[in-house]
Amino acid sequence: MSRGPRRPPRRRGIRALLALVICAVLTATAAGCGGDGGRAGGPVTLSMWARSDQAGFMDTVVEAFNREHPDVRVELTLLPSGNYVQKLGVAVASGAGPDLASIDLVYVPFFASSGVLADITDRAAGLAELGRLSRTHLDQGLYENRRYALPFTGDASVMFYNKDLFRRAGLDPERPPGTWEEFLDAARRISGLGEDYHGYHFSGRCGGCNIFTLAPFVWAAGGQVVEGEAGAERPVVGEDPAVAQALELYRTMWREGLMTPQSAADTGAQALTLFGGGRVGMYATGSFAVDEIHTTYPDLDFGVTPIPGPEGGGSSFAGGDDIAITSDSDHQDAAWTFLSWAVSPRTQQMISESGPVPVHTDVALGAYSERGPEYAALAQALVNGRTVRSVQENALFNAGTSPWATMIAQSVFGEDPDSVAHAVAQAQDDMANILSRG
Amino acid sequence: MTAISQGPGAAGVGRPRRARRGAWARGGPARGGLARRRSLTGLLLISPALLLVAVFFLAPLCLTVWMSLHTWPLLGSPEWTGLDNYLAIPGDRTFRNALDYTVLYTVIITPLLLVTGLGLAYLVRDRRRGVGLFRTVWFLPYVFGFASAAYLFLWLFDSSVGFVDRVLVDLHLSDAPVQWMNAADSATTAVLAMVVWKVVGFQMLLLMAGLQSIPDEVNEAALMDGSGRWSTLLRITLPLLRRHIALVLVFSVSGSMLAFEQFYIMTGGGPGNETLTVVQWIYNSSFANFQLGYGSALSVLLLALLMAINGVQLYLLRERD
Repeated sequence: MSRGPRRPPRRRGIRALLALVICAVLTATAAGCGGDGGRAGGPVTLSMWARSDQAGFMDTVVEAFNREHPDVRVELTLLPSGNYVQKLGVAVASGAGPDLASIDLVYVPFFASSGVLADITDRAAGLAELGRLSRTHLDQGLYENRRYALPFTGDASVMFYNKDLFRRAGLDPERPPGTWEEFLDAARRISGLGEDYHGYHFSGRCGGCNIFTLAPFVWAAGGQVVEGEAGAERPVVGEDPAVAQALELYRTMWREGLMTPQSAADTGAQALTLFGGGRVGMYATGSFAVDEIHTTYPDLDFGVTPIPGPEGGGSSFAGGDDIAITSDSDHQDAAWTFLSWAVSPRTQQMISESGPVPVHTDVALGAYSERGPEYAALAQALVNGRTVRSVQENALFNAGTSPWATMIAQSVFGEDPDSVAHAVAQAQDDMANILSRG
Repeated sequence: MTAISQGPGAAGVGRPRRARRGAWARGGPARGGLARRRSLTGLLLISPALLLVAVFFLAPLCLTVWMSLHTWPLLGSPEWTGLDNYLAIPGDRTFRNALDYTVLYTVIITPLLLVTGLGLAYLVRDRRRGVGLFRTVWFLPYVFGFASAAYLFLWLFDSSVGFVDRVLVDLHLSDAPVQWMNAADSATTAVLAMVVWKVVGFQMLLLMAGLQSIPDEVNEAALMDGSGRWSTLLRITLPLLRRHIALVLVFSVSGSMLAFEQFYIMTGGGPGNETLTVVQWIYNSSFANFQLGYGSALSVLLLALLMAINGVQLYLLRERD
């Protein structure tokens, strides 16, 4: 999309016409482009959009809010996760968006930079909690020093490892790998347990999974994947040696047979089942897996540790959602009531009981961490985590066929010994190309 | 886009073009005032049509060209970037792959439709008992929407509840259900089957009309001269069908180059981007990446490409004598 600073637009005519056309185009699949409710009398009604994969806690959260606020009523609409951003974009472009939207934090810079979110800088400045909220979530909501979103739910990528397999392979289950050397060594020993055993699994055909789990290897090695502010960002995957190093690490594991054969084809759907099966030593994923494993594989003895750096240290992708008010909303005050309520320790505590890591650091490092060492590791990862700032995050990284996803598949599974060098150079060009157009 | 590509083809079929142009020229300057009044009346009479063309074709076309010269995010304000979007096209690997795939799809589906359509046209050419039933049955799928037909075939080719895999497994032609949409070749095969089923009836109808317009005397004369079936087909029938074949080819090439719904619904462009068509990529650029300016630039390029292809087709199939 466009680079450099620009002011929110006031080109209603063309935009409305365009949006109308787009609405017509999308009606086949869309949840519709309805208007927002501005009824007089009675409680104020706020429309709120979230993704279907947030269903587990959104209903509880909204119910609790409505119970405590007789003068405001939040009506929740859950949309399919797959094209949520697309539908939200189209709806707000036509002025038919919701009052409140929960947005995956990687997409927040895009919405913040395009002038469709309400500027909440002044309101947020008066918020007692502000300094205790997740730093990455807060930063994603900043655009040109104005604030457009608050943290809502957290997630962080960490390394899960099977303690049973560590024991059987002669490794100390209480001392998970802290460097790349130890990581490789652990993978080799576990793969040595038998033909069906593999040290590591990763989802080789999933851009989103790998920005979440492979980018931390890059960060922990002191590198990065894009540089600069969102809207003026520049890809560096072909220039930063840490990217190639992390890819070489994966490539080595693949060529030595330390990875599951399914790694090459997995789009993200198989990872948890494979790890749960008990023959995969390690795999990197997020908070959702903790509860999932506890329920589905109650006998699996596993640990959670940071994604390691080459010589120690570690890194994590701090993910999750921000929450924002649209600039078209007629109920800014009521909507703010929801936002300030959502970031309170009590609400965050409630949300975290259904899975997500709380974005309030007091809760994350307090009650949440006390639930167990795996929770403590997730909270720590969220606090220390990083994220990717780009207005084209989806096209560059998350999309199934993004340059990022292609680069990883070619680097890790390619036959040519120069696979990594070729793949990073090609990804650099392709990413620059995406950012050069609009 | 199809509007203009169909234009010359349709006109070419109706009546030899030269004759019409001749009549127009004769009526023009010779009669003075009356002719001018007549042409004014004519203009007035077609003005509603012209208005529709202006509103629904020219205006969107101009808007598309205008948008292509901007960075035009779905949200936020457009920004003039001149030819930047066009200059980014050669470096867009996804587009190049999509174009290759779309051309490949067109090259496969076009002869497939022409040959099948011609075969069916032969079968239903003559008035015989029951021929009306077959004409109807083969033409019926054409009146389905592409989207509904695509969903129907998506179900037919589904690996767990679909009909095709069930038959293949029950007849022991395949050990396990084929995961049709998991590989580019099989996914393309499924789409081809759907498109042939859906479109061939229309091609049959056009070619049948062409076959019926060939006078029986011509075929009889050929028979008298000792021409066999194949040589009659190659030397008599096909040349006389030239205009109908041109129309069918223009239709199927334009339609295939613009393929969208069948792939959007059945394959989603997958696996990976292996069955991604050009229009799907335009859609993704515009509405998934929100790069409307770039999507417009690709649309303009595709329009130019289609005009060139249709031009070449019509030139090659023109009446030579």
